[in-house]
Amino acid sequence: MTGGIRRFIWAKRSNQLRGYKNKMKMKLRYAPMISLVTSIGLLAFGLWSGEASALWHKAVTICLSCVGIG
Amino acid sequence: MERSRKISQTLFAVAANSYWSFLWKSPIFKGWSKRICCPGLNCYSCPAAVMACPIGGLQNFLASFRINLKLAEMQFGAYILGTLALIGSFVGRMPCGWLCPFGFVQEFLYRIPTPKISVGRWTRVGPYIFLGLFVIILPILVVDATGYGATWFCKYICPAGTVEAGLPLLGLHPELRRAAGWLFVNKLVVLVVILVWCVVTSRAFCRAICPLGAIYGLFNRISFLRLNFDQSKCVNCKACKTICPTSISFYNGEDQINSTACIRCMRCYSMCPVSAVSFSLGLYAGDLTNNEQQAGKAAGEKAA
Repeated sequence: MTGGIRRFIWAKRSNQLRGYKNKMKMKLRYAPMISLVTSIGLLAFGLWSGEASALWHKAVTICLSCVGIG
Repeated sequence: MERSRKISQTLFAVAANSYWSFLWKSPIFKGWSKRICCPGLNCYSCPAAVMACPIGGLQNFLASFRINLKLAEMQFGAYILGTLALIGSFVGRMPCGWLCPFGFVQEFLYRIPTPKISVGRWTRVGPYIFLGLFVIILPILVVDATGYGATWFCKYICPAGTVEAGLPLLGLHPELRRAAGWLFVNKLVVLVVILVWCVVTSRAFCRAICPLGAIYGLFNRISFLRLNFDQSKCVNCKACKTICPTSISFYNGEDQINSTACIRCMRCYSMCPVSAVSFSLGLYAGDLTNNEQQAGKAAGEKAA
């Protein structure tokens, strides 16, 4: 992250600002932000619907058929 | 960086299996941390495991999905999918290369000196078949009289479950040995085949089977962490392809550097003799790649 920020600051301060800034504006990546917001939404919904507790109940019980015994 | 990765893999494998009181206390860990999804493949039925396996948990939720719908309970694994997507959004498939205990075992097996076999690119579709069929479709569709499905991947395929849970449980509890039948023989055969394959092929399970890697792989192209390749610096030495555990060939344009098969081990970054591979975390595509930097400089000079 620091490398990207450093390059951003460098680009801002340099006399090539206009061309570089326009280039960067065009290349803003929305996909990771959308993915992040969706993941937080899913996580929150899962916690709200009690999936963390349900997962704990499944994880603390030895399921013999799940590991191939019985 | 490779040394840091080995330390990370070792520490995580120990930390994820740090309940050693199973020998004299409860046969399985029951602490709060089993609410947390393990970022790697680590069976939660393992007596020493302190976290929950995301693939096992997801199958369990999907296996009871139809019953939950009837009971108007909206539990379909959103918590697990959200956790995996959160990790994937930041680093893509990096947990496969840096944390997964079973990935660590595979790398150890591949060090055994034997003739090595490479696998074709077509095997990359394998993880998605296992994910779709054994983790999602079969647990939802094939249900018993009570309406519950089975955890197909855990039951018939997962070698991590056999190594970490099946074999230790049979060793520690002799009374269980009578219950082990053909199902366990099948699991043992699958385990042996996969382990032998891992000796001759680098990361064979990750490349052709692992459904967890398939989920993380979907995020490789969109994650904040990105690998970048500067074609203008490349001298075609093929060091990146030779060292890559999943044989990704981006130097000649055959694959993308952020391919779904990449486990983000960063070996190509460490080994490239001319630093043509770089990585960074960022929201801008333009400020990350060296090619884009040069293009920006040129555009700036033109404007000036």
